[in-house]
Amino acid sequence: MLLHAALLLATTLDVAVRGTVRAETTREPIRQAVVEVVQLGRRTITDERGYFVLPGIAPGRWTVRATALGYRPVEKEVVVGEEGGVRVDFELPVQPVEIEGLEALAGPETEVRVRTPGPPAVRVEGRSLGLVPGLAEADVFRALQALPSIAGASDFSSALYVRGGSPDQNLLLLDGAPLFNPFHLGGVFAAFDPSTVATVDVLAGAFPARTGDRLSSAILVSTRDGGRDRVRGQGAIGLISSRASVDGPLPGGRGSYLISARRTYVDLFTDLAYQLGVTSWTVPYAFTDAHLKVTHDVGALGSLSASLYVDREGVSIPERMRREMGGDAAFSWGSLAASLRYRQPFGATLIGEFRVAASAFTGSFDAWEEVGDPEVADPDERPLEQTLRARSEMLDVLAGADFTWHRQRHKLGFGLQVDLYGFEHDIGPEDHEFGPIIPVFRYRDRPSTLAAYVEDEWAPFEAFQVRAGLRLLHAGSRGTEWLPRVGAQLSVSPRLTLSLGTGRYAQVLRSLRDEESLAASLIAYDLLGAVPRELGLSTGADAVLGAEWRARSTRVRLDAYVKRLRRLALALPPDDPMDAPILSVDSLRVGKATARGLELLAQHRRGDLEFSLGYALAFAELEVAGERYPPRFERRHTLEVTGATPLGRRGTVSARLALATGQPYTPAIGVTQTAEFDPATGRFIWGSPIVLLGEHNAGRLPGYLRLDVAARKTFDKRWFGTTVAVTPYLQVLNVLNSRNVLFAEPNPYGVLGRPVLEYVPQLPILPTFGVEWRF
Amino acid sequence: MAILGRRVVLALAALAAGCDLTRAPTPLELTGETVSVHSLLRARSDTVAVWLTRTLAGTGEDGPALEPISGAQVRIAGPGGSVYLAEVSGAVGPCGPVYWDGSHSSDRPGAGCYGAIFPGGIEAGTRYELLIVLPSGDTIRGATVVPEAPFLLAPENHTRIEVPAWSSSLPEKLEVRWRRDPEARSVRPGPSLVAERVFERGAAQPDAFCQVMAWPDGDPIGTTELRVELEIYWANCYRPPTEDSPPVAIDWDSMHVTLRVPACDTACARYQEQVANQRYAPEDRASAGLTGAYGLFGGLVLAERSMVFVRKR
Repeated sequence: MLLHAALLLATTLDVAVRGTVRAETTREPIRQAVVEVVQLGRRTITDERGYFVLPGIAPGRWTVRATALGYRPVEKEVVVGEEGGVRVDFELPVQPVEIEGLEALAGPETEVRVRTPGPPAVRVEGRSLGLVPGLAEADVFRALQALPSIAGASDFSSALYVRGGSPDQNLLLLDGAPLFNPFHLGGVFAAFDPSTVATVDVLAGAFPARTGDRLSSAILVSTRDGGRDRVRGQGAIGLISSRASVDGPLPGGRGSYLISARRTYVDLFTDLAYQLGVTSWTVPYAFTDAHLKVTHDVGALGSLSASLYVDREGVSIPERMRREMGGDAAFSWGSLAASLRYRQPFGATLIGEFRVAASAFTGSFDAWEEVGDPEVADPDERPLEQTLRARSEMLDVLAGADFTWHRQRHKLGFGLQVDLYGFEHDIGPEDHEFGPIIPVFRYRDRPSTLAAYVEDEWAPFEAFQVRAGLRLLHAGSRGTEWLPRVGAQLSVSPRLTLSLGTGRYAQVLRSLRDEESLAASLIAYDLLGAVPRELGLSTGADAVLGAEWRARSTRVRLDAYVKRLRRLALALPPDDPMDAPILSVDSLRVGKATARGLELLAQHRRGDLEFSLGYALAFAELEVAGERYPPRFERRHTLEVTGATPLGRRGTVSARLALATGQPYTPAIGVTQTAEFDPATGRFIWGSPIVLLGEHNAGRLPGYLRLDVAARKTFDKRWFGTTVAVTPYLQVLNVLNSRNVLFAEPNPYGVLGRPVLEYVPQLPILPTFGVEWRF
Repeated sequence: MAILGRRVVLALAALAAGCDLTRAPTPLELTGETVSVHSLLRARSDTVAVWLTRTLAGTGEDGPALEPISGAQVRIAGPGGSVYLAEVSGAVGPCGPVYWDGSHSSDRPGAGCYGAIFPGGIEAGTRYELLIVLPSGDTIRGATVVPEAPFLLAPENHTRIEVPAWSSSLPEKLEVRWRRDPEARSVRPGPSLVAERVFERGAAQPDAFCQVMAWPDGDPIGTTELRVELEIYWANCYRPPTEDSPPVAIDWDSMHVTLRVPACDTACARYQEQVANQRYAPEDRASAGLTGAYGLFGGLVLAERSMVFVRKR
């Protein structure tokens, strides 16, 4: 009824300039292009389908200009008649750029200021991902870890820790579908092809009411649509994997497709080396991921988009290794996400988006050990005993709809979403051999949530915008939370903008990981469950105050935030973090967390040199069972500096420097002596020295320093009648070979009997290289 | 390029060197001064003992500097009554400690060791409490339930095993199986063997010493019923030296041994974990059966089997 009335109202009150903005060559929609009625100074930005609405434009002849990062502006004359709106579509030519890749960073002077009420999202362009050195290849999550709001656990994990929150508190959406564990190699890098990514928007706090339902952040990954003019291909051959993608128009020209796939060949190469006798070992591990996206126009301005993502990893032991190991193992795990989205303007000013999506993670881990007599010649005759049997399934099926109604000074949004979750984890047998790391447990839960929101954005005058919204999250017996969200932005001067946002958040999911376990530094995978019914939904609240200053070639953004999380299901701080299992399935307590900090993000362009600087000052604290401590991944100060400069006409040299305070650790404060009881004699006998640990996370590891450099240069080659751009690249990670500390372990025996603290290092200097290609 | 210029790289390298990023181990600055208690109550024993020491801040050249604590009030109470333990001075106390080779650990053997005869002896399945009042007035408390003895399923009592004359080990691994009290944990390193009597050419050798070693093949497997296989060796069978003669090797033809399978309570098992990890957390002052001190106050019980090894001539 409400929807029907809104549709009716929308179609009767249409007085608007509306249309789409696309790239001239590929005809892909351009997100966040700025469309402006020049004479009136009225502006708006395009949505992710490139659609815009400028409502309430008076009859007359107007100049409408579309501008977007990396494209030349285009102006068109339109005539708005007495009877209502007019449609105008733009196709923007790509801005010629001399330097491969630099257009993504070229920001301040080509960008028209867009005002959004509240602290804006930080956007990372897919094209810039190749400039940030990743481990072996470009990586989405590694690039995000360079943002001041986001911290990483270690060089080996690409899990994201946003403003003191844990990774389960991040909503990660790929084309609208939530993703579980999108990692490869234990979490060393993200499991999707960076060349398919169009944009990544990171909302680190003060989200609008439309965004939910996690406590710490929303990370929205949008993939490219694919070109509508011709078939294009690109890919890369790297040290450990290769990837390829193809995109092009659908028959009829009213849609496009994008297909990408990646596979490692570590298993194949090491197996070949073994067969040739070069090595005495193999790596029986393989990963693959693939993505398919199809987009098709529906009617004049509607669109239907389907996305399917899959990643798999596995360990399969070859026959000869089985004999050598005296056992067998079969591990297989991975994610699948599918989404279908339909977007349709109703009349000129109301836009609706309908979506259904499903996301699943499944894992199966079996290990066996020979228990028979090793003297028996035929290994097949030796019986096997199962030493690990683990199954994990996580599922989220959702359906939702969002509507946006554009009025002259207001933009009203409303929508709802239903999520049906399923979590089932079963790890055994009781005495399995991974017991010290992964406890035996069985968990099964099927929570569901209903979320609804309404939000109004109001611009009483051009320099000031405000939004106010309310979100409702209902989780059945786990409770219902009303979540108000407010944001505002004020342009103090043409260069200086202030923003303020605050809101409440709630979350039904919880991680079974113990982030205080040492293993959490190495493994990014997470097993999720639901908050216990007796605990109710976990909740959070934050406030973010921001200021942004822009000049022709410089942009500086400063954000101060404070965040409180309540009713978290946390494990007790481990007695011994070095011995704590990565999963915490019992002895959970109600905990809370606080975080506050200051973040600075500055970008500057001088000539051909691009330079960005991010600094974060963070104070985070967890409180559980009366004990307060900083989380293990908190870094008090973090400084990230990224720079890029041309290398010849079509090359780039880039570098990334990271300096940070050491992470918290539990210090040793003393050494004493143990005594062992000898049952044979009934007496105590001197044992070994033993370290006395101090308060949990009361110490700080040494600081972190890492410099990565990368160089790439593009050459055109004519192959099979087609011009192929070939870009070899070389990256050197940790050029200074800094011995950054992964963790520190007290050794009571030490050196010459003196106890010492021993450090386990992170990544050493690591050169990698590869070739990218594109046609 | 400015930020990648040679000077910047050199400056960073200097910074790295200056910050000692090579990460050599750093000596620990230790401030903790701790009190340790070690006491295990053995079922069927009438002797109770508590070893009380203090670790001084810092460490000595040979490890942590220890000091026995004298003048404490130590009391153990059970259903049959309670007893105050007296400090054993001037002699090796019942709680040791001794080194593995049997030598004493301190210039003042027995200092810090408190012992007593417990009326009626220690009984399995019974709760006992410890109260220590230190000379400083601080108190340490402990409690334990001495577990029931494990029920040995294998080997049977008086098992006779023949071994080749030339061998210094059992030809096959010895399977030991037992059912334990659910409250009890097994104590590493698991079952042990003690040579009780040795015969040479049919004659008992009362003074003879034989070192018998039992190496478990892995940790005991199972939950309520545990199983472990032992590799058994013997060595150094000799008559001890006298003033007139050096040690004389014995060519034994039968050896009576006692197999002991210990079980202890959760405090004891927790202590074993701490020792294995080489780390005490702050909370460990309230674990391993104790509150207010590191160490152990637990209960232990032994199940025993007699066995005979006979050499085939």
